[in-house]
Amino acid sequence: MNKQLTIQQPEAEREFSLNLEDLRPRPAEKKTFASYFMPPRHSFILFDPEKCTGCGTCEMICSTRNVGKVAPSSASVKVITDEKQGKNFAILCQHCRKPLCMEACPTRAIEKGNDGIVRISRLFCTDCGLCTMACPEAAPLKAPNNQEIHKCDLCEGEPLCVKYCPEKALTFTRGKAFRWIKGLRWTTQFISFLLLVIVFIGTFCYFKAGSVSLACPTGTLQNIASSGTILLIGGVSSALVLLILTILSGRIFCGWVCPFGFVLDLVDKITPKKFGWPSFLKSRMTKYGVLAGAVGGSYALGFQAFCTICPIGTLCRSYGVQSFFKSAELAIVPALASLEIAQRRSWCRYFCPVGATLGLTATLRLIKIVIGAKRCKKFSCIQCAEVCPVAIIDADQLREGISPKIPMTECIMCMRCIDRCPYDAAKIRFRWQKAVPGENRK
Amino acid sequence: MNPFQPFYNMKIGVVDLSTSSTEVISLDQDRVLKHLGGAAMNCDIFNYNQGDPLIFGTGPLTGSFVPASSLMIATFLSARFDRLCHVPFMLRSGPDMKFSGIDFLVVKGTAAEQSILHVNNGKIKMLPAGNLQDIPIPETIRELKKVSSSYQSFILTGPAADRGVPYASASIGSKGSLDKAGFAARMSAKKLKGIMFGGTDGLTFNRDNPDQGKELEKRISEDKNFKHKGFLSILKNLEDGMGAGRALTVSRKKDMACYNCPSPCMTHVTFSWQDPRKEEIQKIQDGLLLLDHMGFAALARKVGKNILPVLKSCLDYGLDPAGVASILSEGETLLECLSTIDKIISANSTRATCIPGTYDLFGGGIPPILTGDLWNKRVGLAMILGVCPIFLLRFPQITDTDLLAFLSTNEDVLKTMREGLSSVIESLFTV
Amino acid sequence: MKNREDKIAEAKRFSGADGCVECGRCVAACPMAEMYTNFSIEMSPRGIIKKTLLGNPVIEDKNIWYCTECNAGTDACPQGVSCRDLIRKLRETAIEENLLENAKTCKCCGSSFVAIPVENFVYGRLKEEPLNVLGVLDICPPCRREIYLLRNA
Repeated sequence: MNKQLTIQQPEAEREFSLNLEDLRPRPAEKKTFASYFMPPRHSFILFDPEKCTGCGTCEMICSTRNVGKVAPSSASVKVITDEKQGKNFAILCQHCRKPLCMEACPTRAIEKGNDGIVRISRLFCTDCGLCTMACPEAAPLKAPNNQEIHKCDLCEGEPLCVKYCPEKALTFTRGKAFRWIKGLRWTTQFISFLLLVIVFIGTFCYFKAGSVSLACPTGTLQNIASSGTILLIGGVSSALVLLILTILSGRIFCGWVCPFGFVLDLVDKITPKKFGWPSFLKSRMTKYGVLAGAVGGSYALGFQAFCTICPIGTLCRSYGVQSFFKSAELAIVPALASLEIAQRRSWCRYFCPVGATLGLTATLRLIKIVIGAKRCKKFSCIQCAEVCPVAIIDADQLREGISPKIPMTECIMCMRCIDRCPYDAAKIRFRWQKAVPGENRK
Repeated sequence: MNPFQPFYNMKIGVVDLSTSSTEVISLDQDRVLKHLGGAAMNCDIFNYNQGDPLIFGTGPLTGSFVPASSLMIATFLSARFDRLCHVPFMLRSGPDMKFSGIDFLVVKGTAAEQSILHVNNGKIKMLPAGNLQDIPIPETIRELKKVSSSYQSFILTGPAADRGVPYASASIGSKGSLDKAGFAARMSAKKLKGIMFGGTDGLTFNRDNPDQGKELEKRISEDKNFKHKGFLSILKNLEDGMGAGRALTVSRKKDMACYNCPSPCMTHVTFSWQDPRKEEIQKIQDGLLLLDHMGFAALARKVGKNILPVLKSCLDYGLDPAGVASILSEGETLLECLSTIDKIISANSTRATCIPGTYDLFGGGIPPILTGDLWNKRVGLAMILGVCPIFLLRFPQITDTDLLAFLSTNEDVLKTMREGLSSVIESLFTV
Repeated sequence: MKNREDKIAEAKRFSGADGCVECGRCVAACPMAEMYTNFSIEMSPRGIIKKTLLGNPVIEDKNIWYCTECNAGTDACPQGVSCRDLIRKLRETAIEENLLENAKTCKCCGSSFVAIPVENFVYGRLKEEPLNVLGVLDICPPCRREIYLLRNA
C-alpha cells in the first residue's frame, strides 16, 4: 500500500452560510430628535504633555485594574519619552468618534457604547492585535509577558490614572453637554429674520429711526457709484456701523444676522447629501467680481444695479407677512437658495457682494479663529472641518499636525467649529496673539 | 504571615561568570525578616559569597506605591575607596529588576569574554557582548535595542570602564548615575558590560497602598521643598550650586521624575553647541538629562559656561563628572576640555587604579541636603527600604512609621519592624 | 549555522507541535475564519502543524503568513501546543532565508512587523478612510507612537 504523505486537497473557496453579520450584527445608528440639539456624550481623557514628568504612576495604577497587580507593562496607557527633545507623552485610547479599531476587529469584539466609551469585550477578543494595527496611535497595548491586549475603557467613568497623576496632567471630560453657541446663533438668526423681514420693512437696505440710520455697505457703494456724490451723513456713516462690527468680529453678520443666511441654513437642514460644484466654478474670487460688476453697473446704469436683484434686499423689502408670497421678485430667493443643493452656503462663498464687501473689511479684523493642531486629535475627530459651512478648515493639514491658517475674509464666524470641538482646540484669539491652543510659547 | 510576601518575588539570582552559570533560587524568609532588604540584605549576601561579588538589590518598598520607590542598591567592594560601598540607582532600575522576577542579584567570578546579562520573566541569560566594546554608551543602547526592543532598563559601563580609565562610572541607560565609587571599574574587571531588565511582570503589594501613597503626597504638597521642583532646586544645597545653575544657557527645560515620584529632581535640557574639534561650523541641537547634582556642580566650577557639552562628553564615555572635574583646570576652553577627555579615554592604560577620595559609604553621589547624623539616618533608611534617598532627604517629615505602614498597618507588626529597622540601619554604619 | 531542517526541528520542539491530536479546537478559536473569505485548512493552525509534522515544504508556503499571532489557538489547545510559536519560528526561518515577500517592513525603522495578508485585511476594513490616515498602516506601532508624540507634545 502506497501511503501518500500529503493531506487531502480541500476546495479553495468555502461558502459560508452563516457569517459575522448574522452572528454579531452591528447596531444601527439611530438619530433621535434629541441628538440634533444635544450631541452624544463623548467621554475621553485629555492629556497635557507640558505637565507630564514621565513618572509612570498612571501605568502603575492602570495595571492594578487590568491584571490585579502592579505591572506597568500590562497597563492600557504607555508613557514614552523623546530622549533628544525631552518630551513625554502618554499613549492612551482616545475613544474616537469613528473608531478604526472597531472596523478592523475580525471578531467584532469592539463596540462604542452610548456613553461614548469604546470597549473591547473580553468574551470575543482573541488578542490578535489587529486593533493596534489599525489605530493611528497604536493605543491598544500588547502586554509582553502574556501577549494580552489591554485598551483603556475609562474605568467605566472614573478613570484611575486621572485620579492618581501627581502632576494633574490627565483630566477626564465628558465633552460639551449643551452647545450653547448653536442655541444662541439660531435664536439670533431667527430674531433677526423676524425683525428685518417681517416687523421692520426694508431694514437691512436702509433703516432710519430718528437720527439713527443703518445702511447696507454694498448698497452704499452702489449708491455712490450711481449718483456720483458721497453723502457722508446719510450714506457712508450709516454703512460704517456694519463695517465696524466686521472689523471687531469678522463677518459675523453673515453667520448670525443675515436673513438670507438664515434661509440658507434652513434649506441646508432639509436638503440631502451635497454633490458639489465642478472645480472651475469654485473660486472665492468670483464674489469680488460680482461686487465690481455691481459697482461698475451702478455707475454705468445710473441706479443701484445689484440692489434690485439682491436676495437679502428682496427678502427685507417684501411688504409684511401677507405679501411675502405675492411679490414676483421674491422668486429670486428660492432660485438662489437652490444653490445650496450643490454645496453649503454656495451663495456666501462664491457670489454674494455683501459678503465680498465685508470680506474686504475683514482684512482689518481684530480677531481670528485658531485651531491648535497639538490639542486636536487629528485622526479620530476632524469634526470642525466637516461642520464648517464654508469649508475653510484644511483637514489634511490638521492630519499632518499643522495648525491650519483660517482665512478670516472667508469665515462667516458661525463658530460651529468652536462649538463642536471637544478638545478645546478651536478658539477665538486676537490677531496679534501668536500662541495656538496646546502650545505654550515661553 | 510574612508582611514582605506581597512586596517581594522572594527570588535571588545567582550568576557565576567564570562558569557561565545562571540560576534563580528562592530567598530565605527568615533572612528577609531579619535584614528587611536593600543595603542590609546586600551586605548579608556579600558576606555569604566569596570572591568580591557584585550585589544588586532592592528594598521591600521598591516598585510599590510609596512615592519615589525607584531605588536599586548596588553593593560592592569599591575600587576607589577599597571598602564596601552601597550605590543607589534610580529612574526605573529597582522596579524593573523586581518586575523581571528577581529581588536580588549576585554576580561572581570573571567572564572569559565580555558579556551582558538579560533578566526577564524570572530567568537570567548571559550573552556575549564583544561587539559593544569601546563604543559610546548611546550607540551601545541602540545596538541593544535591536536585539530586544521591549527592554527598558539598562545598567551599563562605557568605553572608559572598558579601557580601565580612572573615574569610570556606571550609567543607567545613557543618563549617567550617582556612581562615584568605581562600580564600573569592578564591572569591567569581571568583563561584565552591563545588565538589561525586561520588567514585564509585577507584584501585588497591598491593596490600600495607592491611597496611602496619595495621602503621603498630600501631606508633603504644602512643603516649600515640594514646590521647588527640578534639578536646580537641589543645587542650592551644594556649595556654589546656584552659581552653577546660573551658568546654564538652555533653550528648553523640562522637569523629569523617576518611578512614581511626585517631586522631580531631574531636569532635561536642550541646548545647542558647536563642536570645536570638527572643522565644519555647524550648531548641533542636543538634549541631556541632568540627574547628578554633585557631579554637575563640581564640573561647573571648573568649566563654567561650557558645562553642557563637557557633561555630555562624560556621559557618552561613562565617566564620573566630578572625577573629570578634578583633572581639568579652571578657565579652559571647550576645545581644551574636550581634548583632555578624549586623551583620558584613548590612554592605553591597562587597569589603571582609581584615584582615591574621601570615603562615603553610599558612593559619594548623594547631595548633602541635610547634614550630619540626620543625613546618615535618612539615607540609611532609604537604602534599606528601597525608596529614593534624595526624596527622603528633601522631606524629613516622612517618618519610618509612615513608610512601614505600607507593609502592614497592624500595630504590633509595625512596632517590631520599627525596632528591627533602627538596629539594621545602625549596623549598616558599623561594618 | 543551523540548516533549515534543524531550525524546523527546533521550532517543533519549542512549540510542542508533536503533541497535536488534530482535535481542531485551535481552528474553532482562530480569528482567521472571520477574516479571510478564502480561509482553508491549509492556512489553519491545524493544517500548518500537520504539514510541518509530515515534513512537507512549509517555509516557502504562503499559508504561514495569514496568522495574526494572537495565541487563541494555544489557549484552546488541550495538549498545550503553541501554534503561534510554531508559525513564528517558521516565519523567522523564512526571513533568515530571505523569503521576504510576505512580510511588511516599517517605513521608519525597517523592522518587519506584520504579515502582508493580515495587513491587507486591515486595509480592506478601513478602505473608506482618507489616504493620510491609511498611511499609518505602513508604519510599525512603536514608530507610530513616536510620531504621535512628536506631533502632539
